[in-house]
Amino acid sequence: MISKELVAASTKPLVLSILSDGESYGYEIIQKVRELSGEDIEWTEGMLYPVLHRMERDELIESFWQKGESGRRRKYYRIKRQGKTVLKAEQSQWLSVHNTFQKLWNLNPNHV
Amino acid sequence: MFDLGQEITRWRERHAHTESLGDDQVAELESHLRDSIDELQTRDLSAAEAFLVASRRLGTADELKQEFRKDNLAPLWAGRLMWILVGLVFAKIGVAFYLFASSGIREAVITVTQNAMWAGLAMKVTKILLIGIVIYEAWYFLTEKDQRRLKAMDGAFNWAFRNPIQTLTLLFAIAILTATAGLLHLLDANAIAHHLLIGDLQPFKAHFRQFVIPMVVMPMAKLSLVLGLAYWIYRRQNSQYQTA
Repeated sequence: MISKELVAASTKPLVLSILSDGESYGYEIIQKVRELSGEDIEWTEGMLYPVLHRMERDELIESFWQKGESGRRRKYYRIKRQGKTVLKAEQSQWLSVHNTFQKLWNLNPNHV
Repeated sequence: MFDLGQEITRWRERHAHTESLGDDQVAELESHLRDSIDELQTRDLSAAEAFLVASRRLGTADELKQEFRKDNLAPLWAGRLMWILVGLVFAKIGVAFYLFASSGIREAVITVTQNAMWAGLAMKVTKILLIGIVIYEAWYFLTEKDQRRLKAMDGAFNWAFRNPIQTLTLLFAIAILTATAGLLHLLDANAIAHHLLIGDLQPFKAHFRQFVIPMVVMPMAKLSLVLGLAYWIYRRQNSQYQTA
């Protein structure tokens, strides 16, 4: 399990990363995150949808209704240019944290 | 027998009446619910079990309302403001109707009975009846189980907001008809023909100054302004929910 604070901080970059691979909808985003994280990150619907709506209002992403392969209408989200810029900034921050940890733990393997 | 379609309809109706959830958001959650049910059914759950688990996972109407509330505060208040404005318009129309009806009844009773006391009594009875109708209607709206009237009203408003040009045309047509009726009431046909023949527009101008402008044009302008404001709020609120 991942702590609440970390989940809150990583939601936006995770959603942006998933959408930068192509448009997706709420259910699929939750599934993908669960799968990729090895079931460590379990988002709830009540948490994700307000985040998606807020990101849409901030013009990071945009939404549209479309019929999926099942013939049912779903609300898809797509990343916007501003979202890509934000994702880039987030990426460098997360990588910098990640690299710092890696160096620390490589120098001193006792930490792990 | 468990009817999945019916259960989902019931679920949707339960959430549609949650003030902090917009129509579009309920539709989005419903498609999520259906995806969730489909996936659970592939794992050998029955329709009833899948529905139960999926809806439990999504959260109760109350839980979702709490989560969405923070997000929807601005549209929530915009919606409330819109209904307050529309309510004001209807309150004004109601008061105008009451004044018109009670004075009409007073005139009629005085003409028939030549008695001011009876006329006063008739006015009081009209007042009580009208207030009674308002209270009855309000009570009926709030208690009616299938909310047929509320839905009809909602539909009418949605139509009016979706067709602003037709709505305004209709309102102005009513206003022009009222003004014309007033004109005929004040001047008989012979007099109108006479004044037109000699090119004397004085009576018409006076009619417009005394009747058409204060009784029709001004109220219509105010009505258009308030309804226009309500319409603007409605559009703003729904523009982010445009479906493709």
